[in-house]
Amino acid sequence: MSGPGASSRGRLGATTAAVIPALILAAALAGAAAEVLLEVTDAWITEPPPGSTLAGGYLAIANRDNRVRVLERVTSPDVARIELHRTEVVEGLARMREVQSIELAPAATTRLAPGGYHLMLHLEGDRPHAGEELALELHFDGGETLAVTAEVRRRGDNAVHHHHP
Amino acid sequence: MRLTRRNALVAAAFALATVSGLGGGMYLAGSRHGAAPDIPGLLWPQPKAIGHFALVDDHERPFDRGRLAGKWSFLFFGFTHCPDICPTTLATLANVAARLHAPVGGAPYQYVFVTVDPQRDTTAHLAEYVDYFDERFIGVRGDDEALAEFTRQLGVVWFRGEPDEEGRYLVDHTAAVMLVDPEVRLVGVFSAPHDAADIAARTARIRAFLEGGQRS
Repeated sequence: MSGPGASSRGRLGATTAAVIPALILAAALAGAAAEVLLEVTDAWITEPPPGSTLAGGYLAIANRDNRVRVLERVTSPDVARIELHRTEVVEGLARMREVQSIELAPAATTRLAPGGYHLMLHLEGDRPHAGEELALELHFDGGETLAVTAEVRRRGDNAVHHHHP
Repeated sequence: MRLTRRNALVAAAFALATVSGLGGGMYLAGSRHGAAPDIPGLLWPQPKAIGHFALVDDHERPFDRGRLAGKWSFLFFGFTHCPDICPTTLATLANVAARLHAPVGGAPYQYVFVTVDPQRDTTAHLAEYVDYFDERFIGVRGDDEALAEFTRQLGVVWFRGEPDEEGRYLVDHTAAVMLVDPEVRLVGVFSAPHDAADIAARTARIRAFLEGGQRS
């Protein structure tokens, strides 16, 4: 599918003035649709414990495309190396394995979450602290990329805290 | 001793058979505690008595059988170069610790993280690692032989992958959290995935059952 672009609008002239708003609307819709076929939300990385240079990374990818898409790799200007990993518990044994890519089922949201698919970040230099942000770039099949900002969080922030009066 | 993959798989199969055998016994009647309640993970009426072992805690103090006596202990086995399931489980256990409170005068709870990667997890590193999750947590390590002496009594297994060209390797390990009672018996196995409220609730029930039995 190819949406009408600015150049095609330029050739229309004034003959069909009533059509122009419709075309602009169509262009806007096509543009909007192309932007949100893949959407990343809830991106966060774990604050590494002291002495550790490893962080886990988690996010949700909504694939609104009608075909399987593939997350091929993730990069960051601030991180030496980022790997795609999967944790599996098989017969009581926890195993972590690097995977080459992650398939994103059509019309579904794939979650990278603790205990499953996740990013493994090999950090260098000062470890990031909770509340800071890290830039990530997700690379998909077909050369498409998405830039997202991941918040650094302390694990277990959903833990019960004791604030009794 | 270094566990090869084949040895580890054999050990895993044996350990799983042992644990499932223990679990299978839970429905058998006949103990001073009466019939075992239906609590998932409860090993009763055949808890596993824990014998001799000799490890070291993150303050270089001996961590042996005596350190488990008189306390309710949660044991978790992992390694600090593990970015997903180990820190997730430790954060969950910190949440459990915030929920569970020993009765006044009763046996206290303690939380123990045993590294299955003592080569990289030095005592100092282990100390700051476990303190990050909860200052009450105890980090424990030992060489492979000492570690195996402890883990094989619990049905816990681990094996290390081959190092890559940069010397990095991963360690597969039992994901379950173990519960040891003040008589130093393995009485509960909490399988992954873990939920703090669920572990706290099941522990409270197991404790009430066993302590109730001891009073009767």
